[in-house]
Amino acid sequence: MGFELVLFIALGGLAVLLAVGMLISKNAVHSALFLIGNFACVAVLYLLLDAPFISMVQIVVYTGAIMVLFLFVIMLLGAEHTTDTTRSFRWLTGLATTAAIALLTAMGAPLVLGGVDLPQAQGDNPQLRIVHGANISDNPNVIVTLRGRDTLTSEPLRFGDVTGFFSVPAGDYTVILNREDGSVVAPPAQLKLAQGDVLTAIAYGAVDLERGTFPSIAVVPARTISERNGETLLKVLNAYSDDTLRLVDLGPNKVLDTRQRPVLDEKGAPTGQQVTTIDDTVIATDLVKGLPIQAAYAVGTHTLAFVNSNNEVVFTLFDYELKRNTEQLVVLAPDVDQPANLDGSVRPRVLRNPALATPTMGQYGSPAGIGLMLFTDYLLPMNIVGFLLLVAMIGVIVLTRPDTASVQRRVVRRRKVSRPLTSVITQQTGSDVLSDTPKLEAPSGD
Amino acid sequence: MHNETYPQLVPLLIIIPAIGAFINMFWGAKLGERVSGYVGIAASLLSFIISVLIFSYLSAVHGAASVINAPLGLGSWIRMDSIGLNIPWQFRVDTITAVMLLVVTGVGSLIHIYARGYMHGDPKFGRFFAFLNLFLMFMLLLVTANNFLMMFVGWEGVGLCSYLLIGFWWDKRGATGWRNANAARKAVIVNRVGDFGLLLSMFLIFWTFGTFDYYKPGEVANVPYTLYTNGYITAEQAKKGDILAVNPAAESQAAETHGDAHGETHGAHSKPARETLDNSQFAPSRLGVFGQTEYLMSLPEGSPERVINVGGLELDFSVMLFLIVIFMLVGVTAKSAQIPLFVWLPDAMAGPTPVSALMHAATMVTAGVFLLIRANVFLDHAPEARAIIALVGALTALMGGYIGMGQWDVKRVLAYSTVSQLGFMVAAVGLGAYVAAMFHLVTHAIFKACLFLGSGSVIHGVEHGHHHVHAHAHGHGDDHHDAHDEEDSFDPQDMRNMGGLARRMPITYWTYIFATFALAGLFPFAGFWSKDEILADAWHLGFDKGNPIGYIVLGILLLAAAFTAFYMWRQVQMIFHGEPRSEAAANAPESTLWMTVPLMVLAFLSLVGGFINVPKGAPFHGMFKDYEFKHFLESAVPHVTVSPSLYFNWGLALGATFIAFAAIFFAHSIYAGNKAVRGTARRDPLEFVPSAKPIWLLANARMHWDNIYFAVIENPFNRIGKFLADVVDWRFLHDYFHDVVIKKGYDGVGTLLSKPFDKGIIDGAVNGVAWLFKQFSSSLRLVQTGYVRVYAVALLLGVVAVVVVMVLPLLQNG
Amino acid sequence: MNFAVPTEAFIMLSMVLFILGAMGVLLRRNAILIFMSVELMLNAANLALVAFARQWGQMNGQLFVFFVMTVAAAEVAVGLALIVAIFRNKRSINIDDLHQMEG
Repeated sequence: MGFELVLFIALGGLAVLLAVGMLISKNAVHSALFLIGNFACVAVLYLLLDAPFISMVQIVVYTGAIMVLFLFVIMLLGAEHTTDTTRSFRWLTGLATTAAIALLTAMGAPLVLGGVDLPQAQGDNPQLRIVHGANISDNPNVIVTLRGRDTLTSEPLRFGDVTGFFSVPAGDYTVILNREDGSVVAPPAQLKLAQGDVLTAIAYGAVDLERGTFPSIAVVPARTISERNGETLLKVLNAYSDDTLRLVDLGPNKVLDTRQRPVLDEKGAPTGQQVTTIDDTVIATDLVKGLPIQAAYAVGTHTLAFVNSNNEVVFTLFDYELKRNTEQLVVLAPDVDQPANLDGSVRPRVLRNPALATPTMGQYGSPAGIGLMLFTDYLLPMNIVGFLLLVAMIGVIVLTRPDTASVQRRVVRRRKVSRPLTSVITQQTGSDVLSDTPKLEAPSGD
Repeated sequence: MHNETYPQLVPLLIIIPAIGAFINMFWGAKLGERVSGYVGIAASLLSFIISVLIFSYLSAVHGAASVINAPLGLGSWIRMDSIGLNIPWQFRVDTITAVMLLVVTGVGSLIHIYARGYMHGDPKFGRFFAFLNLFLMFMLLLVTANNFLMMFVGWEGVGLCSYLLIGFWWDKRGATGWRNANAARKAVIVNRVGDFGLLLSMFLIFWTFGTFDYYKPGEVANVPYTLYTNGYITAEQAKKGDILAVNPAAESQAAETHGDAHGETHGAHSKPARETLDNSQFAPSRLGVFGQTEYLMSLPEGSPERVINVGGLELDFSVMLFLIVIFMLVGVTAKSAQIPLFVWLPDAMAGPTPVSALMHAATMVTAGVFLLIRANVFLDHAPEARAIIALVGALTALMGGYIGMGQWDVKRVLAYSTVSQLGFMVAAVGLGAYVAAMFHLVTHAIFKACLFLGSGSVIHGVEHGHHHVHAHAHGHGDDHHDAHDEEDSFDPQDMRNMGGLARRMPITYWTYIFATFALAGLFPFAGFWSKDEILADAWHLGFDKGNPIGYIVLGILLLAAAFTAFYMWRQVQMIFHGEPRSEAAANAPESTLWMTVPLMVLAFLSLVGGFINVPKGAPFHGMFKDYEFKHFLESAVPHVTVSPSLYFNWGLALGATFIAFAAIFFAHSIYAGNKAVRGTARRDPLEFVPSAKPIWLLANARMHWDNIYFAVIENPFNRIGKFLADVVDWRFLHDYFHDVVIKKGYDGVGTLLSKPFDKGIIDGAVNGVAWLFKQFSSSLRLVQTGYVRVYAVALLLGVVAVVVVMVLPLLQNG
Repeated sequence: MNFAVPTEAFIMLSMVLFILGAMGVLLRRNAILIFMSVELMLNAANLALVAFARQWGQMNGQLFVFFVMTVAAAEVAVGLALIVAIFRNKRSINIDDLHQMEG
């Protein structure tokens, strides 16, 4: 028996006892205090249920504000001891108790007897998308097949294409790259998809029989948010060079700014050797081929460059816009559409994903998560509830106004006869009605 | 001097009196007598000035007609492009129009001025002038119209004004008011009969010609068709100035013939209208009704274009013309008071005397004559119809003169005189003597207006004299106009109450004498020339051409002329000569200047008016141009007289003058001195002559025309109306059909539906359902205890039930 | 996934608390106490929701709890205002005194 279970049994029993106490207490103030205790117990139970935010709201709003309101009203009305002396409906107690027990039985029986098959917690199905960045001779269209608990086959992808996200059940999958005629391009790669995963699978590499390399799959988490303001997460994959590359922000002059610096020994004394260093901001280092790196960098439009270990710019990415809450995926891949360089090497190219806005998800039960949902999926209900609160506020004011709350019989003021009619009466009867009629006066003060 | 823009002023002739009528109609009572009268007179005088301008223009251009479109975008009145119908608001200014304009506005202005004095003190003074201006507007519309439909608007409008003004004093107390109102109604009803004839005539015109326009704009009036087809107009035609198409050679010839000045004048005016009309452009449908008539009549008889299809009948065009003219004659008999529809005119004297003078003597009643003269092209090609017209006119002239001989009422005598003189004009038209008819129309308008205004002055005087006497007798000085309503049955219009007024009212007397001589046809007064021209034309038709109609008409008209002179001198004798036969006559004062000035003007015109058309060889003919009036009218009336080269007929003139003098002498011998009235019953002296008594009594009874109308038309009409009203409408429709069939039927069905059906079945069903629900709910309401906890328990039990139902399958699976 | 405390245990606890709340609603006559019992029922339901959320691994359940709490706050405010208003009229908050709706 774990700590949590002990805690649950203790708190649950306490909550029930407090509820019974509320029920049978003669004094309304005691009842309210019992209820406060009950609510507090439930709030702790919420913590057990991974709902810290709700737990806090329970304590603050329910246990705090609402119950204080109750107590205030009880004190205001002096209703601590109400006269439950009326003997009417004695039969009601028996009937109500019977009905309650019947309800408890009816609802509890399936649970106790195990007739209810509660679904397992699942979370979201993993979501996956595929980027075709593999350098295959004669550049065919590639069909990606995903085999596992479910089998999915993509449309034929051209080099550089990015598929949309598709959802598959969690589990182990085999990724196979085929040509359209069915011939396999690369050996199958294994992929493990867990609940809640949102991944980008990038096919990269080239068939190089001499070195025995084949295209393979690199997996990058897609749905992540940057933690700090003004920054976004940038996912960089070197799928081009065997060298270790760096990603550099060239800054406004858009030229790699390097400088010769003396090499210092451990004590800080110059060793007489010179090294070339980069003065520009380095965003990511150690970009080994096939290993995605995630780096945070400032939001904005930058000119980025891939630099090799010889401080040579391999590829420049002009005016690249980094946006917040947008998946930033930069894949440096060999460009098979372009003719080769003079030395026979393939030119690089950056595969940029279309700027998909991927909503990020807060942690389960956290205020951030709830807030995010409130402002996305539940924005309209939130507004309606807010409006309801406003209406309730006005309603309370109206209800408790002294003149409306007391239903007094209004005395209808009788209207006096208007002048034209009196003149007619005068004409017809000959009696001077006007002189007998009290003069009309404006009603004084309401 | 003339100005090309003068004819464009024609629309103002309509608008100005309309404005005057509008002002007086809505603010007449507020403005007061003085302003209201000035507004009316100003409208009339302005119209007169415009008429004079137009006349001056026309005489300067030798009568060239022009067609004026209405301003303010009122170009089209009735327009249906799908059938090619377009009846425009268009005015025609030609010489007939100009003459009528002068007569209407000139005499009208004098009568407006006269009415300013005559109607003094009348409570409806403003309304009277509104009506007078309204009449002026419609009459001017009638004479300036360029199509029959517009003319008909004016025709009906003056009929309306006639009705309004005859019955102007409908509100007099007692029988007088009734008599006035009935006279107005009679005028309207009789005129409806005539208007129906005119409408039929217009329908036939439209059916035959497809248009109402007299002449289309730019059309050459009164040119024989052969000229159209040649495309040229001779110099003689060009001389008239009314030309559309001119052969350049002919024009130069005309200029040479008539001298430079003349040619310049003519050339200047005719420039805008000049274009060569060649054969390809000519189409009969481009012509107005008169042009088409000329065209069709120029075709040989039996040619297909002359055949008019009327409701299955295929009539020759000449037959159509006959029908058109005859139906037109029906309209004319009503408006111009010819046999048999003249009966309304004597009764119309119930209106105020200026109205009688303006409308029922000078202008409105001549509208019929004007219409016939306007349609002279029709008449010229329908000789049979013309013969009928001539006979109707001559007989009316004789009958009017005969009845006028036996009347006591001063205005009634003049009314029958008007009937008679209108007969002269219509007879002249029938003879083909259009210019003579027009001439007589003008002179008659002058001297008959003078006579009527003079009689009005006399009546006014006698009335005032009567009030004077009355005031002295009863000691109150009320000089108010309608005061005589309440008084005794003294009739200020009865000639038996007059006598000896020549001394009391000298101006009236002398003007009256002038007009009487003019009417009687004494040389050199206006009537002599005009009447003589008619007689001369009849003579010419009879003796020179051997047409029997000429003999008959000449004889009848001579007799009628004798009657004319006789009754007029009888009237003069009874009114002005001898001794006063009543206190009123003895105290009658002379009228004010408002009334006497127009009288004097008219009397002067009665003297000189005839000189506008002096025949060749007549006395004074050296002082005036020969046939000035005839030449003026020539451009509008193609066949101006029966004989264009007619010389003064000395024999006929002397004969007619002798007859007139003889009749006057005869009348003088009978009525001179105090012999005008004899006996206590105040009978006519002729009644005491055994041989003359039946003749006079027949005249006194107006030849029983009214009795005949009553017996033949009114009485059967009343009986039929009574039968329809009493038996068909009241007894059958109301008593039987409405009450028995409809009402009782509805009652029965309603009772059936309401009692057993509605109350029994429907109410029962509804109440039953209600009762059921009431029982059910009253047992159900016991559940509603109002205690919340009970409800809550019920709710909980329901929850338990639901949960059990949901859980059971789980338990079974487990 | 195995939890130290099984979800069923939380559900059982939630049921018991819910039934206790329901009995409070049914058996107590004090309006404020009934109201507090209702809160207890709501809390029990919340507990079940959070437990199920953990079971499913989805945070939606917690979101619902959040909303339930918000609405409960509004409800408490209005309900207490009603009680105050009723007390002001009737000088009592005994629920059995309020049966004007009796049919």
